[in-house]
Amino acid sequence: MSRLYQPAQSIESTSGDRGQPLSFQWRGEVHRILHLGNRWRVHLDWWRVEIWREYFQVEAHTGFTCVIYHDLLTDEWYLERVYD
Amino acid sequence: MKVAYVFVPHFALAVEEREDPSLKRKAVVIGGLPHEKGNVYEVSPEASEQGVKVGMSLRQAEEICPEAIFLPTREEKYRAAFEEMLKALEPFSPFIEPHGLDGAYLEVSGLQRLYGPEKRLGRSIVEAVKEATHLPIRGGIARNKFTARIAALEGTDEKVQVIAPGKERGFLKELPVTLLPTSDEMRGRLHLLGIRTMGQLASLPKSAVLAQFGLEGRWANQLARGQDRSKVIGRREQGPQELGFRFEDPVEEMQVLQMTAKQLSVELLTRLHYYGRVCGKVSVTLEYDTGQEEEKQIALSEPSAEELKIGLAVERLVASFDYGDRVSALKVSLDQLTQGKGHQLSLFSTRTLRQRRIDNAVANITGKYGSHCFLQAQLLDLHAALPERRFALLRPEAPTTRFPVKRDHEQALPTSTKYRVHEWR
Repeated sequence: MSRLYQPAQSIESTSGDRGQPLSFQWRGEVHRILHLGNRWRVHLDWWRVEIWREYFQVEAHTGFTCVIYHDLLTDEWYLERVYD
Repeated sequence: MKVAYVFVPHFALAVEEREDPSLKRKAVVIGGLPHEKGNVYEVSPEASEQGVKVGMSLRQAEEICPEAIFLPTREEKYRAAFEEMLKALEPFSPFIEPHGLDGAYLEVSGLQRLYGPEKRLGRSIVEAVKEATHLPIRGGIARNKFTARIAALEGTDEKVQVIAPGKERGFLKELPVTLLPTSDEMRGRLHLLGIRTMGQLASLPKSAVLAQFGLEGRWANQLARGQDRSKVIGRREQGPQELGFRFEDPVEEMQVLQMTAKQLSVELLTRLHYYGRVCGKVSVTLEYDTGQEEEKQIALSEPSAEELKIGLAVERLVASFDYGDRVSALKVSLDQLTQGKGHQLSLFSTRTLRQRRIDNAVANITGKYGSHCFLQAQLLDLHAALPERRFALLRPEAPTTRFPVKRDHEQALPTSTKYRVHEWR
């Protein structure tokens, strides 16, 4: 099961040269990313309020598994889903 | 609506005679050998004339008619022959409803362009079945199922009797009430009251029939008047109704699975409502991304087609799986379908006990901590690319308080003043 955060939680993240996240900080805890799962892009509504995101399914060194995304328009990172 | 009913009189006997023509016009009893323990399954008119009846013991049959030819029952053979007959009928209508193991109803509305008037259509049906099965078929065409069946029963071999629209009551008038599909008790009471023909029954006021025989009587009265609203239910619609959904990406959220399953059940129920049917068993099958399948089912305490009941059953079923892996497909099926009976709608709330308990709990918690504790989820678009567009979380409506709270200005004013305020308005 998983929990979807709506709206997504803002996080601070460091990213590698290919745009992949290396680590992120959420609720004062730093999560180093050990494993990158799925990675996909969503580009929608360019004619209205544009949405352009890159999603990552990640597993941190703490065992924390979640879905985070990079807002490519504002260059901000968000945490959207946390898996049990 | 135009309905045709076709059947083969003494079906089992006709199948046996087809294989061995020497049995024709002889006293034949099907059910087993006379020394065997068992009952008579089918009897030829010649044996019937001597007093042998379907259902009596074989030993009794032998005593009554010792010269009869006794044959074992070969139900598989009869079933195969019946399938042949249904296959021969398939080109005439997509809606074929088997009736017992000797007849079938066909929905034949709008076939004039293809087959001409009903008489010609009837001839075509008889010829097609005869050519495919070599069985003597008999039929009837009328505006409803009951009249079509009686027309076939009263007709002659290898012919189809057509009852013109509006002539149903006249056709049934002189026929005995024993042809009505009623219980033995009602048949006995009709006999006691001296009601012998359908015309007599049809001429009675509906209220009197209802008072005397209840709902069964009202139904019989309608049939005797040549009114039958039941639909021809095709073979496809008779089997379990099922619908499935394959997810593009395997899913593991139970809420999504529950919502999908509920949507599927609503679609299935629309089909059931159309045919006036109810289901007795609900099952959900999950296909995991590993390829494994798992099925769980619930037998309903009583057959139902209520969205609320079926929805709850589906919800419970989805929640009962263990979910070792992610789900790639889901199937909902409604089984044990039977003809539904009308029921009186309640004047009061039909919410289940469980829902009422949830409502009360929500009202109590909201009253104590505020309405921000709860959000109501609403499915928007299951396939939206963004998860937040798949469903919306809404603030629930403020619960109704059990004790009416006076508004501020009302509390401030004495009763008399309050009334005066109303008068001034």
